[in-house]
Amino acid sequence: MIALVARRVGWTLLVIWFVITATFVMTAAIPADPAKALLGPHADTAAVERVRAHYCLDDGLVTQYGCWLSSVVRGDLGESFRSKRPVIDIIADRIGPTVQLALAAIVLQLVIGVPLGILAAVRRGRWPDRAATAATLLAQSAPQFFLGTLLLYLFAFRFGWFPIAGSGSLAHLVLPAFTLAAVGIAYYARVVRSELAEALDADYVRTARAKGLPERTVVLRHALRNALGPLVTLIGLDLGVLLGGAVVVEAIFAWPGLGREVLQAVLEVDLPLILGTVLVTAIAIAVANLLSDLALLWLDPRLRDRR
Amino acid sequence: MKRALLILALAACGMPDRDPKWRPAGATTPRRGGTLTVAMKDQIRTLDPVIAYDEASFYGLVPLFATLVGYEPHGTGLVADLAERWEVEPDGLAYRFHLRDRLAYADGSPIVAGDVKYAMERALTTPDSPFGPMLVDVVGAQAVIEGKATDCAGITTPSPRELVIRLTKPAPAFIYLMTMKFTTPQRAAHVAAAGDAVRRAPLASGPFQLESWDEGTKLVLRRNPNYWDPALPYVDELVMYENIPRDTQFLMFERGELDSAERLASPDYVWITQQPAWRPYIHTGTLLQVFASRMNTTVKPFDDRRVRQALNYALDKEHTRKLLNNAAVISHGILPPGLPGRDDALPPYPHDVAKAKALLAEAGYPDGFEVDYMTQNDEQGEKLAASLQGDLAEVGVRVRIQLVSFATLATVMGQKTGPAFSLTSWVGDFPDATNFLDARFHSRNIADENALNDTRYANPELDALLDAARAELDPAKRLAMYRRAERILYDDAPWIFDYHPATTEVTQPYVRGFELHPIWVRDYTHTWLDLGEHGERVPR
Amino acid sequence: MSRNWGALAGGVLLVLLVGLAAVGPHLTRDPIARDIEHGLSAMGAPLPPGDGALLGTDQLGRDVWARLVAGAGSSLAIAGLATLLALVIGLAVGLTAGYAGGRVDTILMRFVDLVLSFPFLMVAILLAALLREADLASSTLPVIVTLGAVSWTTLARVVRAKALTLAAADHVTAARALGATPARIVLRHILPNVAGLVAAVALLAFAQNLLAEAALSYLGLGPPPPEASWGRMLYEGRPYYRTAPHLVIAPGLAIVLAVVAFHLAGEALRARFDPAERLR
Repeated sequence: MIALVARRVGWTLLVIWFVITATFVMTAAIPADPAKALLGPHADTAAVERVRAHYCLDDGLVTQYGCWLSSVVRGDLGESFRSKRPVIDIIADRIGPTVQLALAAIVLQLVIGVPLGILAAVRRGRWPDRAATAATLLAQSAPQFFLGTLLLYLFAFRFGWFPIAGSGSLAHLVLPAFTLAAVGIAYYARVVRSELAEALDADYVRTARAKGLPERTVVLRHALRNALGPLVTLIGLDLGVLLGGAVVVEAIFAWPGLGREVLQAVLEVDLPLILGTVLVTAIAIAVANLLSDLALLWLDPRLRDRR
Repeated sequence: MKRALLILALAACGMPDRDPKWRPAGATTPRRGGTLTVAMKDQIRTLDPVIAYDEASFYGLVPLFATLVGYEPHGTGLVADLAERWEVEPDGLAYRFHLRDRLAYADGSPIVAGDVKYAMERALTTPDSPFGPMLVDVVGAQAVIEGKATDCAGITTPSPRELVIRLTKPAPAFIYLMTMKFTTPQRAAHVAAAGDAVRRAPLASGPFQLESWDEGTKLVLRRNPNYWDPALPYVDELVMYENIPRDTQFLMFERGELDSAERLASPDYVWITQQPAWRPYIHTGTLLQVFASRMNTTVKPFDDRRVRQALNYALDKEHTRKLLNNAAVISHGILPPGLPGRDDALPPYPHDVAKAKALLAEAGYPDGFEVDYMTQNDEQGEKLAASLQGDLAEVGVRVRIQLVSFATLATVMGQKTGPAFSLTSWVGDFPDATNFLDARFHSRNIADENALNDTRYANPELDALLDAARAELDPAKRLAMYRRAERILYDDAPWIFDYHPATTEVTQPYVRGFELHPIWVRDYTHTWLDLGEHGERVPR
Repeated sequence: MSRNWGALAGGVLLVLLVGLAAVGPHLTRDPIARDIEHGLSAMGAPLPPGDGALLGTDQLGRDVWARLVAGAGSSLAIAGLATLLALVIGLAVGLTAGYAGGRVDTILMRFVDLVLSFPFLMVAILLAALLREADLASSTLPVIVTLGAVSWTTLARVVRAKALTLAAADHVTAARALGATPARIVLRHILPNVAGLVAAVALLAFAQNLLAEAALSYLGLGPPPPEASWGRMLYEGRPYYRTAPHLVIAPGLAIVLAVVAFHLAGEALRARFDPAERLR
């Protein structure tokens, strides 16, 4: 067991290294000059050359990469080219709202998606099932910013139920979280429905029913267990993806998360900021996956013997 | 489901009243007090005046920092600010500034002439300041840039209230540098103590001081009690939300969450200009801005002047104007309207397809040619590029559009091997023709990388004219030279001259004393809130 | 909605879409021709649906209906080519891993894990920015490659799982014993058996790519103008959602419909080839 966990952790470190290295290579290939982006359109040749020398931008890729990697190992992510702000501060500022939004979205997915899936499975083939299937299909098919803009316009502007933009209160969180969760709600509902449907036909559930247990107990205690594993895997994956920042949703609702910072950093070739955010995101994804794997092992001891 | 549909239907049909919700309370003289809340599209990068150049950061700098010389409230005329007066030696080689008596920073410590000298030296020694190289005409500046000296010999302070700056050659435009925020006084001890945090620890000399800054979300400023003019500012507090898209700003504005909305998105602009109730509260102004398409004049087919002229005839500038909702002035050159030296008698290139075709045929391209056009990936850039594509197609020039980020565009345009044909724009730092013509068309600004003269247009006649004008002390003669330079550029057409955009801002009716400033854009020094007795908004 | 009805609806929608993409452009106006003189109001605003144009005009005075129809072709082509690219990579990796098994399988699947460890949008943004600025900027190629490069992993996993079981099946073992080359075995015995499943997954990936194209467009990384893809139309129309809602609703609904169609068709195929719904 310990060896297994150790191997997983080692692999996770490898993944993180690979992700940031690949990002470095991709960023370096963008033809924009960070020095020019840093100084702005009015900077003349002399000013640009001064900055290139100052930031070792002329030293070649390998040196730059080595420089960056060694400072990361020492726990220093450097400063954003554009704002001179330490990357770690920027991330510290943005990670809070990002985690908030990600958790809210996952809670919504669970709170809405799972009951919807149960309902559909229990009433298989009848109207609740069909309605749930249709609703989830629609939710899955709407482009995020189509849905987000619609919600913003109706519920924030026209009805005034929620603030239009920004963060700071629970009310600010509702619309972005819902927009972000729409696809997930649909997905969770489908997974629960199919797992539950399968379980409801399984022998052990029939046995439970035959013992005269109430249907509610049969469904919630026995059949739903079956859906637990896939759900945990899904939450792990989702958490990873959502922690990377929800660029589109953040842009629509002016939510101060990581995603917006990443997009801006890429557009401005702010190398330290790109690498810093990718590093943090990669760690978040890897850790989320690791946790969900460990949770699976804990849930299902049979898996421990594999690999 | 049905209920949702009903709500949707209601929302679609019942249009709410979108007239102003409030009215001015009716005061006739400016009132003090209140909080003014505005927003901006981007994020403030830094409040360090020797580094900040982008518009969002600039919005933060303007209320925080005062300079020796300022602009009149709604125009580009120079006025005394921290300096009560200044003198220029007759040979144009020395400037002497006299600071006001008892000037102080927001923290109460005195502002002395040495603080301005320190600020200018800081710009010279800070590698990531885009401004240092602008001071090259100052005696001793080059030595400081190169690290051979720390003290700039040409800047001296005979007394705490006197600053003398010596130049190596006459440069009448120099005075404008003293309006730029990088020359705002900074106390050496403060900068040293703040260290890296100086970017968020501004020692204010302007009408406002920093209250709090939640980076990327909101900047809160409050009145600076030590501002040299005790009557100003009128409002107690200024809140600036960051990172709010313009259409969202307008929603917030309509809901009353903002007192002012910047640069309305095209659809909102069209709507509001058609509302009589809103019309008095729409502010329009032209900034020192120009948009055009640049051509690399050293590569085929743009090395032929006739081709460049042909494209100028082919572009229908009326299309541009209409696509910008008529909020633009068609340009004949680089200098924006109102800029001294602009030749207002010179009409823009007319739209003339026949002439364009004839010129192309003469140049050896009777069937036109195919070319890539690089532009920025934003709504306006894409819209106008598509329009250019259509206009040039009519004369046989087949344009393929390449969309890139602003950073890439700025980088590759200045490269010798960069794209030959692209969007270009320029915003003046100050209202002087050197800041436009020299920067973009003087051959000394041609380089293999990061060339500001990215058309690589080299004309000895123009160079000589610009050099002479730069040092000319007689204003009338100087402006005449710039008018001649404009004619030369018009004929040689290194750009497809396009337009100068108008900027708009809409304010709530109770916001008074606000006008868009050609340089500062948003300056709230003289803005006041016409609210009810208890500071409440008066319903219409 | 019973499965058969869903499949039927999906199939009909798909046929209509493809038909529209194929025939439509011959029946509409030029989707690229701007009409700044007549296609815009005096203030330069888009015209509402009605008089001149069935679905109104856009910000350049272009016919929205014509662009919507052209967009069917454009969006389907972009999402389709991206899916094809994903299919080629996914099949190659999946079949190799599944057939070879052992160490090859472990290495390839670890690689898939690695790719999945990337923050999806981050890679998409970087890749799109990169490709776009590498002299490909005036074509739709960067979008296609980006979408293909991030969507092949699911396919690879599905194919590998199926191929793994097939490789151990009796007829494959028999073929191997008879001296058939690995390539022949894969092509003759394994590929045909994974085809149905692959088709199902590909249709679902197609739907995802349609949405991803819209997301990239929203971030300003979509296909360049004057391309009339739905994602680009939606992106260009967004500022107008209050004053000219047709610019958002038309392409928005088109995307929803198309994604629904691909989902329904994909689900139907999946139900046929993977009755246990084990695959996600």
